[in-house]
Amino acid sequence: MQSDGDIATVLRTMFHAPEFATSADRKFKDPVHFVLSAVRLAYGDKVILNTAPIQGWLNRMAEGIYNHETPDGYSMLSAAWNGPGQLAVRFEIARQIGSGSAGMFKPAEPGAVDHPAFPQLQNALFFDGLRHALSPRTRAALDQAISPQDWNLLFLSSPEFMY
Amino acid sequence: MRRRDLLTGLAGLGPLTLAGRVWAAPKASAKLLVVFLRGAYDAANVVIPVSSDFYYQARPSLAVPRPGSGAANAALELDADWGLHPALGETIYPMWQQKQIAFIPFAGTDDLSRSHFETQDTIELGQPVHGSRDYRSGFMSRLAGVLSQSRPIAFTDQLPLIFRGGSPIPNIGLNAVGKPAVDDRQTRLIESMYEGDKLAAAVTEGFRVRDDVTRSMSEQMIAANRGAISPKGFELATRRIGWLMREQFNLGFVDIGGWDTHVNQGGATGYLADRLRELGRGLAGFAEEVGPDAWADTVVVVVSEFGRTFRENGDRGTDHGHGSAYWVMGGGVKGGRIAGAQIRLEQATLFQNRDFPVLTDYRALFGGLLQRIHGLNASQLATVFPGAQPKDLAVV
Repeated sequence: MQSDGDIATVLRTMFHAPEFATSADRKFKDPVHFVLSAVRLAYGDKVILNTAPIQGWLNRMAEGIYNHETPDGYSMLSAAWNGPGQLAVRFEIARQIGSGSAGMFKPAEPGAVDHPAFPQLQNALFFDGLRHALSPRTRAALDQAISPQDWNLLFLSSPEFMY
Repeated sequence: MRRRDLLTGLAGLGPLTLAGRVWAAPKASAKLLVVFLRGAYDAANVVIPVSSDFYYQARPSLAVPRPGSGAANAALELDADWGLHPALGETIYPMWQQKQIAFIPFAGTDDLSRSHFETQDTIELGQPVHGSRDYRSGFMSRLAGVLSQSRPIAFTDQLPLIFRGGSPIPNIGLNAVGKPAVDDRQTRLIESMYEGDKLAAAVTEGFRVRDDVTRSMSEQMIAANRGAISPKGFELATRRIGWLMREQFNLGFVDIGGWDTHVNQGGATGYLADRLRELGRGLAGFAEEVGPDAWADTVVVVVSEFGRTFRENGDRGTDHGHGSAYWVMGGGVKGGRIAGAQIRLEQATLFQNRDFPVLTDYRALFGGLLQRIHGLNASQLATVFPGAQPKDLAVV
């Protein structure tokens, strides 16, 4: 306010504010962020051949691509995405992403074959980085997994993956 | 008020459990379902001002013929001045004849933006239009807060603004309910990960509602399979809502879109007529599924963000307007009447020479309803609708 909107001053004030430091990596993921970060972690640089499953998941989570009814677009507030009903759906989507390639590697042309792929979430990025940020409760739950798909579901549903 | 004494007495009973199913206390709690028609439905062609000659001059291709005019698709007579769209003849008109529905024309807000999302937000927030808006507090969430035994739920895929705020309120999209893919063991493990996290309550509540709904759905599907027609779309959702609101939930919200008829709207038949038929079947299906006992204690309020222009446009449709018509229905509603202030509709009495004026503010209407349905006092009403005066139209 004192600088009357001078961009450099405003930005400097924002960057030095205590809220900025604490908020930096703790924003609840909206469905697009959640799905794409899960798929990216699972498949790395493999090119997705069919995005229909992803669009379907986003529609189920009420953030379908270009599907917002009114021109103000999807909300950027976490409160719009972390209600009880939405979390329950998110866990179901986590199970789908974690259980197999879900048709993402089968091109949409008739007669196409399904290319080999499976979600590999326990990869280098996980072991070198993400694993260290997991809380003891999450690690305890992951230890109870009875199959790789089960592990994937639990990991993608964990609180750490939601932010 | 005797109902309030009954409720206080019953509150001391607590729930009984039989074979794992929790039986709610006897059904003495009032239920409210708000149905939001998103897109500003054309109220003038649904609750039709049949005594106004100007209506017929202003809508040469869209007007619905007068009742008794001998036309094939004439309006159904409500009273001397108003008629009902014939597409609602099998579903809503019988409710009118049984005095279970009242219509409130000239209803709406003082939001003059005529913008869908702005006015939808205005209504859902229930806050004064002029002044800063708190997007984290919808009026049904505030209502759930002041009621002593509210079990709220939004039957939508995303939690709507109307239910934001306070403790997390569950939402569930009803068209795609199946067997949950996450099994019990995985559910428990996920809950254990969230212990102590600020989302813990939401996670547990989400699983609980999912289980309740799935159990209810399987019971309802067994019951429904004995019936003839398999409902689709909106009617499928509202029948499930009726089943769920019989005993489990008492404060619900659902929305339905597709009402923004700028082009080729149709008059007595056509696109709008088809949507009305679907809406009517949905509401009648809800009334049937909720059961006669619960229906006597249920009030359904149908609202929309605004009405449409009185005159048709060059595309045989109508554009964004102002005043709309709201519906209030239920087994115990004092229906069979057109309620609220009304005026003759001529060019001189139109709002800004284009729309229905608003003579009943939505917050005044809801305030008056809540006073009677839930016995809310003045300070509770002021919490739900700050800065608004309730208007009792004696419809409940």
